[in-house]
Amino acid sequence: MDVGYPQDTCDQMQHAALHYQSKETISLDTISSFASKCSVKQIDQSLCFLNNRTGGIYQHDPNVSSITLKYSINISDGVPNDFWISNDHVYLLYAQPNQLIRIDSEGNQEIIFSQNQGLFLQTFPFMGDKLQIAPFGNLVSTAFSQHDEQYNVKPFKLLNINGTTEYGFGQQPEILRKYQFPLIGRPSRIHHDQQHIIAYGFSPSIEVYHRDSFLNHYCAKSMYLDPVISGLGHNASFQERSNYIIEKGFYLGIYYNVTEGRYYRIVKHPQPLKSAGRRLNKRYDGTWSVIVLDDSFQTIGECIMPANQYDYFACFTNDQAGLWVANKSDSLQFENLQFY
Amino acid sequence: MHNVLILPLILCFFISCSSYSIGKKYNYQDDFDAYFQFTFNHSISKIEEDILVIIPIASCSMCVERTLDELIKNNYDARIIVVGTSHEERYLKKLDEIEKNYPLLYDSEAELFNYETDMGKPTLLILSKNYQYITLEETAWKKVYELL
Repeated sequence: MDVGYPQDTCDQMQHAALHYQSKETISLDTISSFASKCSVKQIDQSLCFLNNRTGGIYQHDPNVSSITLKYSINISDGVPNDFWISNDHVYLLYAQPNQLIRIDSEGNQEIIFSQNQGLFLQTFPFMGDKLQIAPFGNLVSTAFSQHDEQYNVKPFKLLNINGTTEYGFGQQPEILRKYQFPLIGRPSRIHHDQQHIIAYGFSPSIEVYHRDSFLNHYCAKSMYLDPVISGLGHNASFQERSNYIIEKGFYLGIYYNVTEGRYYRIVKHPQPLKSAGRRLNKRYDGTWSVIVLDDSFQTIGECIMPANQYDYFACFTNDQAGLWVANKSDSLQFENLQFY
Repeated sequence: MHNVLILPLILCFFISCSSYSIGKKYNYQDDFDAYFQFTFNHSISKIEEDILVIIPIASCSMCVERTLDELIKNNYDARIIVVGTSHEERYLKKLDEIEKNYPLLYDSEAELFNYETDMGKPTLLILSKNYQYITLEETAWKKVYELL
């Protein structure tokens, strides 16, 4: 199957089995006690939470263990899929209608991007997936067109803070025209030192760009996944898409720790559709692993992680070594995991 | 004379066939029954209504909105299952309205998605006709009007 990437560089790759140690835990009980569902962001070394029930955006400073209400947003007409806070604005990204809204400190709202501008954002509400706003330097949004109505793939477009296209880079893989990849059709991205790192969930490779110029492919393949991860036809049913997420193994977020000069790539492993009876297995309950790469994208090793203990969608890095991952306890806690 | 007798028979045949072809055959009957039994602790064979309208409240908002509006506007002999929770005022008001006229069950933990039911959007399920179903997208309501 053509997956749009040079597969040979990633075949039969063996690397070291790593171990992990939980070094530190931060707990955010005061938030979780009333939050039915929180979106989490790391902004300027602190964490921000959007409480989807109250509309409050709170900032937690782990250095002084304080939590402050930064903004209160009106959620009577819908909850945003994602948010980002700059020094003087809060940005809210909505899926329906597709729009990016900027609110200033006086509470004035301005639509800075909408679907009318020719970009199309997709979301999968039943999966709890989010459209994400990433702080790419002075670029605020990862808004891009995955495909048009005829499934013609489009390049990424990054928007500046005024909602206009700053530049496009990286043609999306041709395979997205033929197949859909539920949950993983959009790549995970990192931006630092003028570089964009793009990692698709269905590809063992990661792509590196310098602004809009392609630099190289690197292999970051898991020992627990096949080299080729197949997709579904565009006419797949809801249940087929849902089952895909339960059963398939694929790649998820990629994170960079500036202090260590290490990349961390999250890998969801395959699991059976059902374990007993007619109940489906939970989508994200199986084992998973973390691939650790050095600054030059060379794989240091991979660490297999226990099932059901961590929420591997809620990860971040800061100036401490290692990767912070939310654990699945009732209160909202993050553990600093270090790999050796 | 012979023709006069046969014609109504042929008409009956076509009417019954056309009403059966309105919905699509549902392939997850056993899974849906298991979901219903587990979630509501009640066998689906014992409920009075023949029609279920299942509404995953966090799914396609246009479909949810239209389904809620249609249920308020009409008075179908149906039981409603609301899957998941919403804090959106516009939904909550409409659900209050619907609760006055329909028997309503809440699956607030969204157990529906723990079973193979293929219900990612609001769905109308007809139990008596071997579980035929219609996914309640915008364009589907014409079929529903014909059926109910």
